[in-house]
Amino acid sequence: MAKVLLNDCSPDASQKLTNVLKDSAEVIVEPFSEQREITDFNLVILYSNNGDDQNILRKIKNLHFRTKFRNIPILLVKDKSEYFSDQPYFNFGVSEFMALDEPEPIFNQILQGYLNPGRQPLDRELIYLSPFIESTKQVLSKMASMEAEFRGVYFKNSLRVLGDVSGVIGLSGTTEGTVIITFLWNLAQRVIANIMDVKQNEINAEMIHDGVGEIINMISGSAKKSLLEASYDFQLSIPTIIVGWGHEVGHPENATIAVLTFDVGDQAFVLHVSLTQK
Amino acid sequence: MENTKTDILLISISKELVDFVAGVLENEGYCVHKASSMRDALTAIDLSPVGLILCGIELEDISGEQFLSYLKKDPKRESIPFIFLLSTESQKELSPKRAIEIGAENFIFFPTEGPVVVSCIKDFLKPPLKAQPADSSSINKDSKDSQANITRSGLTESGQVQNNERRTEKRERFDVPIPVEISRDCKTWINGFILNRSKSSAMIETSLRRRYGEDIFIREPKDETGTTVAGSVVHVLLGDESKQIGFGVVFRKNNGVPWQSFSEHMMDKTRRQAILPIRRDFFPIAAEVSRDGVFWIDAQITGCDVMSASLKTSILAKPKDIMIVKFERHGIKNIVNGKIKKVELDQKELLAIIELDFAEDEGWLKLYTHFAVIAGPELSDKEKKDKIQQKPQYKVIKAESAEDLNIKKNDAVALIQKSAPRKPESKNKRFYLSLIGRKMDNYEVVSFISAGGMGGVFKGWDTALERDVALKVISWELSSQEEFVKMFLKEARFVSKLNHPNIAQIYYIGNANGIMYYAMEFIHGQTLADLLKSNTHFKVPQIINYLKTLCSALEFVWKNDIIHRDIKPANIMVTNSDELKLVDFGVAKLDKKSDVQEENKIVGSPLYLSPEAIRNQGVDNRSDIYSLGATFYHLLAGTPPFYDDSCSNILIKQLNEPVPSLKKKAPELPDILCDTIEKMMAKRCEERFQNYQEIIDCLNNCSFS
Repeated sequence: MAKVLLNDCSPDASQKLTNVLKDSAEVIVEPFSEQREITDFNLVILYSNNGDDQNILRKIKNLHFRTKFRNIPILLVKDKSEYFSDQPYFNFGVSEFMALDEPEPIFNQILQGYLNPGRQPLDRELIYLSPFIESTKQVLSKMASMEAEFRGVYFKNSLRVLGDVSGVIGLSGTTEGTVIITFLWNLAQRVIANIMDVKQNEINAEMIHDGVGEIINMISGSAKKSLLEASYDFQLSIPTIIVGWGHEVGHPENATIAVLTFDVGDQAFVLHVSLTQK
Repeated sequence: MENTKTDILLISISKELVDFVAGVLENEGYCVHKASSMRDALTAIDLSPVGLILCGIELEDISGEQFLSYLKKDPKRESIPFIFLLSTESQKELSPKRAIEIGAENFIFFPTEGPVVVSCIKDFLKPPLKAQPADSSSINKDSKDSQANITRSGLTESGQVQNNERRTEKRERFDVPIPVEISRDCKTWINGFILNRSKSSAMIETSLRRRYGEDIFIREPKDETGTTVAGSVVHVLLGDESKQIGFGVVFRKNNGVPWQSFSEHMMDKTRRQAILPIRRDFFPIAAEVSRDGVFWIDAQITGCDVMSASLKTSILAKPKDIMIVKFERHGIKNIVNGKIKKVELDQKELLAIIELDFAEDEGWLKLYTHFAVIAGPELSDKEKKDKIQQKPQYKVIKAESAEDLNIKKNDAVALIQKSAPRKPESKNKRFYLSLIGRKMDNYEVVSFISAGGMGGVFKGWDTALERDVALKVISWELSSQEEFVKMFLKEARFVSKLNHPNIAQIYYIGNANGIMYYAMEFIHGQTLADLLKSNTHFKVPQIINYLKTLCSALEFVWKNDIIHRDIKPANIMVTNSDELKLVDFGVAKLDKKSDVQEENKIVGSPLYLSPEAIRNQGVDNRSDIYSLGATFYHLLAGTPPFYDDSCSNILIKQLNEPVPSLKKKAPELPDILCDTIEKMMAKRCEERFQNYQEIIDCLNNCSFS
């Protein structure tokens, strides 16, 4: 049975959500805690009805940080619909923003939608994902002397970068798409320090640019060679390095967005791969 | 390319309008052909050197919009400039915006005066050889309102001069556009830029919307002394996507400050401003930056001079790399390349602070002027301090918080537009998005394909049988109605038994935690709706074959006591091997009396819905015949039989209006085909074909088949 964590819920919200979820999930109601381990949950619902948006955004970011990039959707629930200002919530990492005053059937169905188990990659998807998995592990190992452990793959409905440092590379040709590697700041510093052979406190903008750029370039370049044999032919664009949280990258509506998660020790990073063949 | 044809074709059913416009143009020496129907108009185009079409919104046999659409599909005629003749009343049927969107070069609003009409058409046609000067005295006598005064001073007195002047008088273009303020009433002032000028006219880029002949006033930015230059609009400047981004103005000689001295003064002032030292005190101005021209990220220009700029952004880069800066204003995209001089990383804010050098891109000067104007005058130290105290310091480059959003709302309009709240997704769309990457029973939801009224369609994978499937998830609105669920389950069972080469087979009907869906055959191809959108040209024999194939498939469906109820182009797929597949039996019903009470709701797509379905009078195979007829009418004519922006108006037309003649819309079609389609769409069921075999028999007699 799926496990759902309800954070900060009012009695009314808690009752409504529990009623909706009781048949399909084990529900745990708790106040928000920055230390709570959440990687064993299938869904986290954060309730908020106060106007302190900064506090909500801080909590969303913290929850996302604690998911370690795993497939754990974070839903934000408020009492009333509030479309005008919902964009920041998405930028900070919520998968959906819902209101208790929405029609019950849609409220229930969206919840059920996120509770359905994540799908496994198809064989034909593994054909192009496997080279990226292998090349990521190899590049981290060779360049940064770090062992990256592949944790799994899941599929998302948006190409939103939720991390501190990301390298983006565009693919064009008979196969088109985007590959993005995203690190949280601490791991990015460690990786770059190892690649550049400097101390973490000596890292500057140029090193981050060169280090992350080189990583995404090598991962994509190495995967390109393997994929050519599988009829995926593409050219690589210049890597773009972005810093900061919540950037959304455009993609075709019917493209599959695969999220490959990796662990390095107790830290995680993620590789987004979205490919479409013309 | 210069328009070498000289004649004007004037088409409208309004005799009064035709007489007025023709009188004005013939008085100017133009050769004018008049028509009131599409047929006459096409004849005139074929027989005469028509170089410009002026068209009302309604013709005898077709609407002006449909006529334009027809012309734009005809390679021989699509290049003839087309101007709509509109009125305030006709705006409800065709707005100026829509007119431009569908391909008209311009529009003229009536009632108006002769010189306005003449000035509009002069942009598209050479002046006639026997041009006669307009009789300014008669207009002066007749015109009393302000609009007439504008025309009198702006066009009549200098109208002929303007026309010649555009060809002979030298225009001066500026590297750095001159910032000014524009107003229609001297009360509300909007920013604008003079792009070029002559002795008596100028081209101005602005977001203020004005039409031909209308009054405008120009002043120096923030000049409250009442000093203005007055003029009249003579051209509209269109930008990307045909948006109005400015206009050409002719200035009056005897009203306000002389244009020449004003423009000289503004040029001097701008040149002086252009050598200002670097200004570090800009309140951040929103732009976008990219390394490769593909992936763009928001940036904040925090200071600039004529050669360089400093900005904050999330993109990291190295010194000597090229960074592309994009700034959009009034619909015009300005893109410049700068060489990176210096990069610093603000590790706390996670932002890059970049210095760019634009010495090698002259386009920077224009952007610089934009930024200088937006940033306003340089602040004194005290003003800077006050400003910092008044408003929170700008922290991050994106609207990542509500507080941040509010700051930008007040101070950076361009960014707010970009960071505006996401367009609320429809509730259904949000529901469909929640399913991507999930699993429902044995089916994996691979990617989203499309959403319709009945539900969302996904590409799926059957893990048990290892094959592609199309998954149709029923919309939450329908699946929450108990009656619908009962009917859907019962009738879907019957539909799943249909086994026909032209029907997409249903494999499974499921309910995953209350989410109703069915899995069906996945078809590699496109729908007829997709093909219509991409203007695919169908040959008549091919269409007849399609129609016969579908008749045969629907005959099979009907013989199995099923009515599809949603025949439309989007539910007919053409496979990659050019076979047809009828899809989506989501609202199909049993032809026999169902024990489930019929819901009191219109089911189907309004554009193709039969009158009896709209009246909820009970449907049978003849309702599907009507929808099939409407679908093929759309395919053959290029437009649906009845169209309106409002859904209810479409339904009213379906009920009451006779089907517009297909032969008139597509004269090249064989008569028998047109008659067949029109009979399929008869308002009364009894007057339609009673079964599909009758249609096939009828088409077999068609000489094209």
